[in-house]
Amino acid sequence: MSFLLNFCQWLQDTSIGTQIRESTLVFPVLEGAHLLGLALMMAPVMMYDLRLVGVLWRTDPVSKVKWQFLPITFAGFFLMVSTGVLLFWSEPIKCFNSLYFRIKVIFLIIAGLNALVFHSTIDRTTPQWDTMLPTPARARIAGICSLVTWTMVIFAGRYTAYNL
Amino acid sequence: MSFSAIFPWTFPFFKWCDGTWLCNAIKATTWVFPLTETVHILALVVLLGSILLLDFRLLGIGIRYWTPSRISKELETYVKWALVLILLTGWILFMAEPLKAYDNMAFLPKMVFLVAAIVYHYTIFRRYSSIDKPAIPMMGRFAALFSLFLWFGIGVAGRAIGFV
Repeated sequence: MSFLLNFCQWLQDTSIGTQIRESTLVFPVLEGAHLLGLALMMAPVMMYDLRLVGVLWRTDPVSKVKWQFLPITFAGFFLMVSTGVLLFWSEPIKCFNSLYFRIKVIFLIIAGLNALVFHSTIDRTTPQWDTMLPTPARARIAGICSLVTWTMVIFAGRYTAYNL
Repeated sequence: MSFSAIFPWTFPFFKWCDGTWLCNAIKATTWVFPLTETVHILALVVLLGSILLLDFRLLGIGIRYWTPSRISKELETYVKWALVLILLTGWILFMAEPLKAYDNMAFLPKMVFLVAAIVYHYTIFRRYSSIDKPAIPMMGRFAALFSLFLWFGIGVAGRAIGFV
């Protein structure tokens, strides 16, 4: 962990980190954009997940739902990552020491792995079950896993800011 | 632009809220406020996210496979329950510190945006979100922009409550 801590210390002392941390305007604006970007990214993610589970857009092919929402997800994800990196950059030591930030990172990794496994396995066979209801168990599991892990990411993210 | 500066006659109401058992009960715990605020944000993701998708459709940014009417119908229940949840958690957050809200410069604007957004969403905006054909008239785009303005206004003012 000491390598990570050294890296965080170095990052904390860079001029960009210091400038964001000490600015009265940049930090709140970044945090606000990070929060509102959440709706932009999560709404299309939820739509696709709920289709995989078989709750929303039931009468539409899975592949259609996917490509209607995926571009918006990417836009939201880009906004979240860019504001998130800058927020982290401004207080890396605080994040390093925060239990909730560590939980957030773990759930981010799980969410990423879930997406990776889903898209490289069952998602490749979508044409075979595009309009099938109920959807295959593995697709439902991936959808539920995504909904749960992203909810946990939001929970842990909000709790990181409380200094509990 | 706080209640204390513009509507000082509302003070007895805020003072009354401050003395209720609910207020005292929330103040007596440390875990109710963060938990409520996190649920408030989860509801924001569903509510703002759903409306954002509808606005995008009206503006012609993606999701062209469905008409606005179809998207509204699919998301109606989610919007309604997310609104109930966000109002309920918002009320609890308010009851945690009513006198702070009375003096806060961002709280009054947030309430103005909130009332305007809800009224607008269920009246004028309905005319455009219920369009059942692919082509969107110019007024539909303006309606979507105004919807974005009102809902984001709540978000920005809400985020500002913690900073001003």
